[in-house]
Amino acid sequence: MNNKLSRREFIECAACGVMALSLGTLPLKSAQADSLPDLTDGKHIFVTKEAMYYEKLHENEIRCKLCPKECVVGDKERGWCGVRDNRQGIYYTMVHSNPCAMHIDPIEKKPFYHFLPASLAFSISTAGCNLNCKYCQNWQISQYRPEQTDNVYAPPELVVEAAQKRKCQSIAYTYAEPIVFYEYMLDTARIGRKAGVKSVVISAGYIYTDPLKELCETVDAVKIDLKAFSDKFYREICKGTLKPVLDTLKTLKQMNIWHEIVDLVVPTLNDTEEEFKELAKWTVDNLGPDVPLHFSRFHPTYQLKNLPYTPLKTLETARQISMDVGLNYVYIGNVNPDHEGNNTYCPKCHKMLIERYGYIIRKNDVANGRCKYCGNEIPGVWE
Amino acid sequence: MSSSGKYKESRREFLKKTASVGLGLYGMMQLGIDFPNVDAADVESKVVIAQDDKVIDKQNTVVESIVQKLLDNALMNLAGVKNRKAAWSRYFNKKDVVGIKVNTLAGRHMTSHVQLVKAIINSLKSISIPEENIIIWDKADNDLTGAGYEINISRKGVKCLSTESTVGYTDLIMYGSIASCYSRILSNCTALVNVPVLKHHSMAGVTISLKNWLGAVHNPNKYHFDAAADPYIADINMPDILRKRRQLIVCDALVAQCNGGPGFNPNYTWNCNSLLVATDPVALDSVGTRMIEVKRKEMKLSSLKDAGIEPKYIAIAADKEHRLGMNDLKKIQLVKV
Repeated sequence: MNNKLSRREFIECAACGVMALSLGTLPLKSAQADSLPDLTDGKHIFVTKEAMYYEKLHENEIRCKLCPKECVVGDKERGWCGVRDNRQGIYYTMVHSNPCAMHIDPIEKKPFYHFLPASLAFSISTAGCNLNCKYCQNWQISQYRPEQTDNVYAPPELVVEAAQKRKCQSIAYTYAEPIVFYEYMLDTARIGRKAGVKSVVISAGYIYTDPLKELCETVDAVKIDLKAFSDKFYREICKGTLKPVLDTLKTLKQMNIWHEIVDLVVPTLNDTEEEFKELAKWTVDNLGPDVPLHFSRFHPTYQLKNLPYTPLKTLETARQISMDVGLNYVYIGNVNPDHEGNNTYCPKCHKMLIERYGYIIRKNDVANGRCKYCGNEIPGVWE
Repeated sequence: MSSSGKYKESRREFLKKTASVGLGLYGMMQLGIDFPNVDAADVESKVVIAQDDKVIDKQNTVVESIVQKLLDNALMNLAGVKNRKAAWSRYFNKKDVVGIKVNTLAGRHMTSHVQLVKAIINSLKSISIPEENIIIWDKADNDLTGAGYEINISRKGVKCLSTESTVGYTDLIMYGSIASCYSRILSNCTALVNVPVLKHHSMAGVTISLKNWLGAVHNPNKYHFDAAADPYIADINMPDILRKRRQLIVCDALVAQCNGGPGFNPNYTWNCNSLLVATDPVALDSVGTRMIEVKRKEMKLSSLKDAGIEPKYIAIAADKEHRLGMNDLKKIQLVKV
């Protein structure tokens, strides 16, 4: 391509945080092809790499073993995620080093409330998702294929370098579904760790245990979007199933990876008091009382434009029920920036420890991982 | 065709048809297809199979003059007229912008042949449709060029372009089980020639005319799994952006494939030397599926049903909710020319 961007220019651009969802006007850099067959189109997809976690079947078919969809994919076809492609019996990822979104965000936006508060996360995403939630807020990348998004060529080392340059303490794999760019995420996290940049994953957690465990070796925190505590909801609204997500949460605990949970509350679909109670009880029983749980407000979008915003009262009820069941850190998101459900309170002395105004930290009284007032240990990653 | 999609004919046409059903059955025996004896009074749809064993030469090249003849003969029979212009004028007019949707995913060896598309263009031009109003298109440039098409996005001549490199997709359109953005190329066309390839599909059972429209949406990967049994493919055909446009189907069965699809697999291809032409996609797909089943049996492969990929979506497309055409072979007039 003629419009090449030098390595330095790319980092400058990335650092400015201007590479938003529409990158059409930015000059793009062409990639060096690797030794694999050239599947790129020279415009949207710069690199293709053989995928991890799949097995070969007969007649050039493959079975993907990355996520519970276990797609059996014929030659010339894609997996359900839309980003893994079978070419003559070899499965390729089309999104390695091809992000379509790149921003610098406060870590609170993810949301992580117990992970390096007030730090910046260099946030990247590619096209594709292995679910299809009817209320997806990022469907124009998650439900698109990589040929349909405006991508930049950003190999792992360049992402790490850009994060460092902008003093981001972490790289966040986010927006759509990072499981579908597993290989890219893994390679970037490995290089990031060597360079002292942490990695955080914002995911629906629809992944098999083996690849998850391998990922846990190199990332520092995972936020799981637990869509509902109902298999029916998963099947009808998200095209997935509940159990694998619960298994993922258990694995994260077992692997000692810091994790927080978000439950986006959709009016009439996953907003009963019984469901809130079951979710909280399962969390306490299986993950313990200290896992932060965020109830987030739904807004009408994508295929669910016929439903109203979640009433604040519903979110407050969900929070209260969860705390009554025994969870220590329950938050409310996408509401008034100064709502008390945004703040962190010490479960022992009940003093406010972290006061938030939206994504801004107004005060932080967690010192060395403990309550400044009573010395109670506050779980999380604080430095 | 009537507005309801039913095939209605005059008394004269009816008598002609009664004769052609008999000829058709003879032809089908030649093709090795076991079709029921159709009572002319029950006919609700018509599929024409044009076949010539010389259409592919010894160098495995499609002979342009023969494919042109096959195409025009098929269309004349479908339209029930005796000359090419009258036949093509039955489906298109000179003010039309015609989109020719090819199927190029599997590459040069298992594609809508360039020679066939040339023949379609010649015939469209014969009724004074200007080249500039004809668009050959598919999902991706890579697929088109890989199948032997030359991209042309200039204002001159027949355009050849892909959705993803040019106009992109519409806003979200929802129907039944699907939520997709459709190619904006469709919005620019007043009429369509759907040119699928007759082939097996490992997830949908077969991919013929109904499934070819998965190449017109942004997220076909969401509809492949369990595609044989689910309503996705039928639903994809339902929105107005497709249904409100006149559609002629010219299925490329010059080379067909009965297993290992949708990619090219030479172990399962055969020179079928045929075109299947219809306006009813359900009828054409029902006939095409039968042809693939016959070939599978001949090659000692299990039936699509036994393989777990019986293309039930064809029956779904014919049901009361969809009414996209006729899937009952007893009500499809099958004519071989």
